[in-house]
Amino acid sequence: MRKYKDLITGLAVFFLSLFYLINIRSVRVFTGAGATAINARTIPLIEGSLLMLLSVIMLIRYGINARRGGYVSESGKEDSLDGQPLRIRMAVPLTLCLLLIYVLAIGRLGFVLTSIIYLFFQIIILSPNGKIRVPFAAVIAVIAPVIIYLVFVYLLNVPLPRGIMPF
Amino acid sequence: MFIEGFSAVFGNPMTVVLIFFGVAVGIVFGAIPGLTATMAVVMFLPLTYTMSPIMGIALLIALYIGGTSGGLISAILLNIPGTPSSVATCFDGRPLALKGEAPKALGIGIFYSFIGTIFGVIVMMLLAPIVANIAIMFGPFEYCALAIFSLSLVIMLTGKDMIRGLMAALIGMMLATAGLAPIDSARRFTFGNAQMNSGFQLLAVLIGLYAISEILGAAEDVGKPQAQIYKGKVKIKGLGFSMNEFRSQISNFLYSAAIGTGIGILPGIGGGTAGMLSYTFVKNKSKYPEKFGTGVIDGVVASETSNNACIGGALIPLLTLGIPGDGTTAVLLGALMVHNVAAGPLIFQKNGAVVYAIYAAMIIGSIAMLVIEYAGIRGFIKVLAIPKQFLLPVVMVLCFVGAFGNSNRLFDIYCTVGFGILAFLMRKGGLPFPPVILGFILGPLFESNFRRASQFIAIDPMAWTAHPIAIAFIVITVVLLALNIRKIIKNSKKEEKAV
Repeated sequence: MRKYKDLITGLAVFFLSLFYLINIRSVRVFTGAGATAINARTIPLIEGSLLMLLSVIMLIRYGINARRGGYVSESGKEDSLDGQPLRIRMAVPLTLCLLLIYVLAIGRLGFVLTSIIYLFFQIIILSPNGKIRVPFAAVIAVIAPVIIYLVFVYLLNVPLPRGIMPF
Repeated sequence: MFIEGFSAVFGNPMTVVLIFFGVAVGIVFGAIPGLTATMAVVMFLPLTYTMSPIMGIALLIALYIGGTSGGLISAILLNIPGTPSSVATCFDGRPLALKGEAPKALGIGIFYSFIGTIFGVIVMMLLAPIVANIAIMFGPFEYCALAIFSLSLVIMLTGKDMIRGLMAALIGMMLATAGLAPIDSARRFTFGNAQMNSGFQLLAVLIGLYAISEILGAAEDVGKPQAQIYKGKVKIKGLGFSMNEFRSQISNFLYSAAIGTGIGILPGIGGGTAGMLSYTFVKNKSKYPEKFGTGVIDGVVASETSNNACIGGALIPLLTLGIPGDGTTAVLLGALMVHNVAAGPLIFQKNGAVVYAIYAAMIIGSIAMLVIEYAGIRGFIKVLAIPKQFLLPVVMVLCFVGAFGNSNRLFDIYCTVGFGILAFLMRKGGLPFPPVILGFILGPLFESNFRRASQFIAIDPMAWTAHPIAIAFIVITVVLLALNIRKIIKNSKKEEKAV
């Protein structure tokens, strides 16, 4: 993976800077009295161009090192997840999905319900093999959001999304 | 007035109790990622309306001190900075905790937070009017040069892979350009979304980069054997460090305290930058810079001294000029107004007793912070004994509360998750996080002052020559950059030869 790290990072940053630079065109420039050559586009243009330049340098560095054979594959050193249950192999994408579900649902379901669902599944996902305690996860998943909600809403007067909850 | 102010605080047990309460609440706010000192001060401001000015302001100052210091707890124990001020504490605090030296890291962090705050108070007491006059000399040219100087530290912060460090800093600066532009309020990168007009919140970036990436990291490691850092009783000797260690840190403390107070005095920069600046300075000055980031106490000393010394510094322009340096001091300015205390050059004549009461409240607040945090060390460390699968999801939910509570927008929660995904990808690509935070804070400071300076230059092209402080900053930046680049090239040549 290390072998392609510079290549992938360089390419990703290159396209990110390209996207940024293209969008600078949509920024309206103030041309009225007091306007100078340095406008709302100038600094983003400098920053985007510098980022693109750095990504090109990284890609060139990759090319030179690859030709010299300077990259050593470290794939053998990585801990293999083969043979682990699907839940563990897919822990990162599942966590990402849970986070996305959380942000999409919190407005409709409210803080308490969304947090209960999130906490329960997140605890299960992060539990090591053989250490999944479903009842305990369920208790924490229910108690923690309820306490947080009560403390913030009623004690500290910080409003949290109520959603479909009646209180 | 001195006696009146000090006796109003020291002589009133209720005020002392309120300060201890304020510090304790502040520590909780600081320690929970997502909740900040500013939020604590805002929440408790209405409570002070019915109090006397001295009691009310003492409570808010106590919240400020506790909130700034509390961030070190989660930075060291969870690698998630509780506040932006404690970002640099993670660099060496977390590795120390992973080595099994969490009590030492916490002890050092707490003690240097205490003496850092006291240093800031002493500077404030002795030099407030003089220092405020120097701060007022800082205009667009000086701020612009200072931002360039601070940004140049990215190169020193990143060490070997300068390209990745610079990339990360530029990504931070680019994220900060979203929203309304300075000076002409042109909409930039808002993609037609009205919520984007106010740009991204620092808190959302911080939570995304540190908290979400931490939980994704835990998800990645779930199949690997977990190292249990703490089992059984926590042993702490004295303050957590030896006399020799204290002696070895005297110069680091003095440099960091001076940097922290100096940065605090200048509006709009804040404790996060102060911590990183001090860390970089101490690292560069050190005889063993290569050990930084692996768990040396120097890093914790630099960060915690500096961010707490910032408090005294930030109160100098607030009290003597009526200029708030950040969100917390802006709320404090409002509190002073509510209590009929007019901040500004005449504050010593009109409300001298309140000013001295603030000094006294800061001293008691620092002592309260020291006592409460030391008393709590054993409890804090027990957090490490909680299995990750329970601890991190609950912390994550608290982070979402903080992101939402900051300005009551669901949009900030969406951004938090977005930045978390970005952080995950950045970590895969080997891009460091601290330069992103530095770029995000300093980018807007640089741009707004650069554009203001350009307006002066449009009128008089030689206007910059009348700003010796700015010229000095630029010269120092160029010299330091040249020295560092030379050092990096030398080291890489050495490494190549060794291979």
